[in-house]
Amino acid sequence: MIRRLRARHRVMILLLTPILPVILLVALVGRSPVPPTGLPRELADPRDPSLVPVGAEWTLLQSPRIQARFLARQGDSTPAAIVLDQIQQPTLPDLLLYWAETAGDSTTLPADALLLGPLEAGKQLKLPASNRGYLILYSLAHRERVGFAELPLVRSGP
Amino acid sequence: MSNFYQAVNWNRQKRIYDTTLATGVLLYLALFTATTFALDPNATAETTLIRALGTCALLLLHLILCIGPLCRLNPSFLPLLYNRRHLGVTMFILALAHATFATIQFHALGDVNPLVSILIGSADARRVSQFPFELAGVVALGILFLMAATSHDFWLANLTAPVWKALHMLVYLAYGLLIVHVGFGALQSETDPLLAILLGLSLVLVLGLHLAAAFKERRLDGEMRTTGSDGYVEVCTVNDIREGRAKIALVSGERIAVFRYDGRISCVSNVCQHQNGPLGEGRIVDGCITCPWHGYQYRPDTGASPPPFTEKIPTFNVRVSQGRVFVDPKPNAPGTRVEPAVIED
Repeated sequence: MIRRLRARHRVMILLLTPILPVILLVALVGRSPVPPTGLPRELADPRDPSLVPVGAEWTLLQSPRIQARFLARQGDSTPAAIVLDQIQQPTLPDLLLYWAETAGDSTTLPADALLLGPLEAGKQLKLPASNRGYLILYSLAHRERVGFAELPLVRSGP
Repeated sequence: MSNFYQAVNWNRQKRIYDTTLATGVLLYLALFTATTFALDPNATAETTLIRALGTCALLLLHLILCIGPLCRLNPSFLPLLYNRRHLGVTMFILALAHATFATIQFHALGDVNPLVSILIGSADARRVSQFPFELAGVVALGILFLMAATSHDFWLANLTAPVWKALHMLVYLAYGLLIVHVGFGALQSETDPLLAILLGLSLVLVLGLHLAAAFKERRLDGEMRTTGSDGYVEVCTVNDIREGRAKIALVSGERIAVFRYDGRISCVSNVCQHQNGPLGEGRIVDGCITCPWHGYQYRPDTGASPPPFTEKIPTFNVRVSQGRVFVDPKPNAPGTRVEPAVIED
């Protein structure tokens, strides 16, 4: 290698020697805590075997068409959970189901919205103690409300 | 060495080198994939492939960057240098495959053009976790492409070795960008300390070897020479040079190589025409100075390659007096014959 290039090479290495370790250190020290993968325990597997179906099957949404069943404790007509059935494939990915006292508007969730879980057929989603309110299907990625329905008054027995 | 261009001038060494390289790459990819699936049953094939290709390319880049200083420090590593460009092109192909699959996996499934998505994907350089690490990877890949595309001897000859080498020194910029790419990318979500330690140790190894080689070279360039009344510079004694080998010295701002062979002394430029390799670290083979890097040959008395080759390097007038070697610091035109100095008994 000719001397001029050798000198340039030496300068480059002398510059990189302090810079690169600092860059790596900054990257390692400044990294954010990684959120736990998966859903919180209460959302991940909220299946409660003591719950029994109450009321008739209910159409939560027409488009995409989503049917739902309510579950309640023995002798109690207040729904404690909801199970989504016959989910028509939605056009948006990763939809989430929320409960709120109000329906909110088309782009934002109400401040009191409570995440019930992902839109997934057969999954038991725990409802809050209040038997009134709205179920809201929301796309977090698109930040838009896909649909909503007011919780019906559920009666036990046929 | 060849007097015409062809894609790859295959010979036995190159076949062995490339077979070893291909086997090593395939073994690494298989081992990485198997280990990933064994340790993480939830791993997806796409992500595993992207990571296997990326880590393999990064590993090869570290190897490539270590070969140069290792050869400066110990000539026994020279066989690794012989086909280093094949190593570089392989590394680029692996990096390109990593980038392509990562673009498809992480940027092509939305409603934004994947290339636009890369540019705007994580756009907050103020936050470490949001740093646009993809951009660093894209720029590094551009540099690696430039190097791979000009790696052939055609470009080396037409750009000239100094320009070609200056261009290929961009590898250090690419390396810095890849440290940013990995540090602000993969290491943000992969918090296993082993990965950070491995990258840190690799960085220390690369920089440490380069520093050691740089200081060794600097010592050689810093040796003082005595100039005689006739303008000749005393370089060494005859006994300092082994038969068929050379003594390297800095004269008039550039290195020369003083060779001893068959009872004679000849002096030529230390810089090989091909890739500016250090001729003085080579030896006389079949009566010709042979470059340790790629085997380019020159006659010691004329500095010209044997026919049909046409490479020529400058020669220097030389004389031997009382066992000491003196060199005229003024170089002769490349290919000029200089009568070798005879070693007195």
